[in-house]
Amino acid sequence: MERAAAIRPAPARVIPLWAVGAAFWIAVGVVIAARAAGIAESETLATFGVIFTSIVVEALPFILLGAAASAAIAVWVPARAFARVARLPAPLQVPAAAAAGLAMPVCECGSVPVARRLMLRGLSPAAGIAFMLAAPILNPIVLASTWVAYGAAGKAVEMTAARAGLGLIVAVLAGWLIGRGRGELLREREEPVDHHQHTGGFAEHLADDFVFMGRFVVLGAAVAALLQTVVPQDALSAVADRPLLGALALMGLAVALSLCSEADAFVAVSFTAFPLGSQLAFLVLGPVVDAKLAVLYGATFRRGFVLQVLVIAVPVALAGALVFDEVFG
Amino acid sequence: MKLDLRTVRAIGLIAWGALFGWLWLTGESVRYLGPRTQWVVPVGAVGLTLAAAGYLRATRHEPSARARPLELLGLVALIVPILAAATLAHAQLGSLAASNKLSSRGIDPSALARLASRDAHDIGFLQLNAAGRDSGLSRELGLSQGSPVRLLGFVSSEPSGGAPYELSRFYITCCVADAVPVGVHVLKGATGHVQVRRNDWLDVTGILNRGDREWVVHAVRVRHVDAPSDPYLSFAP
Repeated sequence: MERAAAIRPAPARVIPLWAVGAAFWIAVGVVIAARAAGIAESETLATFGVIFTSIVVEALPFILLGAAASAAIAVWVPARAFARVARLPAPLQVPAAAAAGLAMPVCECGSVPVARRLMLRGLSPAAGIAFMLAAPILNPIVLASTWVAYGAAGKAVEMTAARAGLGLIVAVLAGWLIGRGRGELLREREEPVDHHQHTGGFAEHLADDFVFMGRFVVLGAAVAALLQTVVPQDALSAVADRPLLGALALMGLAVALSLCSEADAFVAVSFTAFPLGSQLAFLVLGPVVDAKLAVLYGATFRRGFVLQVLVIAVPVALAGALVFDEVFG
Repeated sequence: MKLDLRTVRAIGLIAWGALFGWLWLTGESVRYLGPRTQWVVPVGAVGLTLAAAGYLRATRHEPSARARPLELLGLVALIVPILAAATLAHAQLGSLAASNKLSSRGIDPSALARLASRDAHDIGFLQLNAAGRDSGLSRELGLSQGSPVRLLGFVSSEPSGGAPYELSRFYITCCVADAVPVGVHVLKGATGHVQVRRNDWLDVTGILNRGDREWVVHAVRVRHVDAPSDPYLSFAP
């Protein structure tokens, strides 16, 4: 039984056809007027707009894939499957859920709706969080891209193993520490009533999750684009040769850039002025918390969730970076 | 016409499906995504179209809930990037982004240049920038004083007087958010009469001069050109 309240169909607000048409033409008019006014000539607006749109364009297909996986879980996975998982001993549930990320080829945007659905279907919050934070790092596409990106530098094994290991540690720790807190972890949200079986229900859940998560990705992308437009990043290069500050600087950059975990290794490997450990910190923190995820988490989980994840993930990534530099640097 | 929850969701799916379809069919996706992530565009176009069709079909006989103000605001938020894309259809990163982005001072372009030049026969921004600080790479690429070179890029630093200006290109990996500007200094030489301003796109032909830890292009011919339809380069070979 899902915990969220179901929507009770209410009389629809009738909007005349002319009003919908007028809204469309007003939008077209705004675009034409903005183009005529030379909005694109403003460098600040153009920079913001291009970065903003590119982040959303890259993220939304992953939201769609995540929403599809979430809808499939809601419609086709029987409740008894989750009951079996719930019967596992608590200390086993969290690492097992984190390791399940290996089989889930979605990045961080897609893992949020899936984890939410799993929790609604009865998976413990601790296990749900562990899965959500581990999947964007442990999934096979991400590990393969890390391997390829660092292959040319001869550090494929070390970086891939360290990224997977640290990601697993962050996910399990966050699951145990945040998931056992009291109170409801998920924000309450209305769920579609299942009028349908199978395909119909799938489409309804998919549309619901996509539209819900999509708007928060848009807000998060706006924050990330604003950070990139107004904050000069070159200040970071001043600390490139200092392992501790370098790792902190690249973690800050990971939050601001909000890159997809399936391609971020190719970006990290370009920061060759920074120690490998700092690049590792970038690769571990980015998929766990970034500007767009912070907004998405805020809409999905209770207040304070982002801060809790940061308090756990930053020290683990930092310690991992320093140890990595000590051993392989 | 009812503006109910079903309509709101359908508009969101259809609008984004249409945008992805447009990006896919026109090839405009290169303005936003790098070569490694281009595949998300057809996935978005096909997936969202199927999702919209499936959703509308599945819910055609069902009573739908009223769209609350939050749902309408959410729809507006979803539509904003589409309006931004339409308004800034030909916009691209320029000198402001180049000054804000983590530049080659934060990266070591040598390794990337070797990666990018594995199969490249042309000498580009990345190779010149990296070879300036790496004499081994200069030899490997066959660069020497007086070698001819031709570059297409935008002016990223304000030229003043007879001082060299910087011609740059952005290199992207997954999307514009990770763009890295890589620049080369250009000496005006005999082309001093050509007016050059920030963000101008130039086709520069010249010869290489060895500067202080950099290769400088001594311009022989400078031509103003339109920005290319794919303004970004990639680190990928």
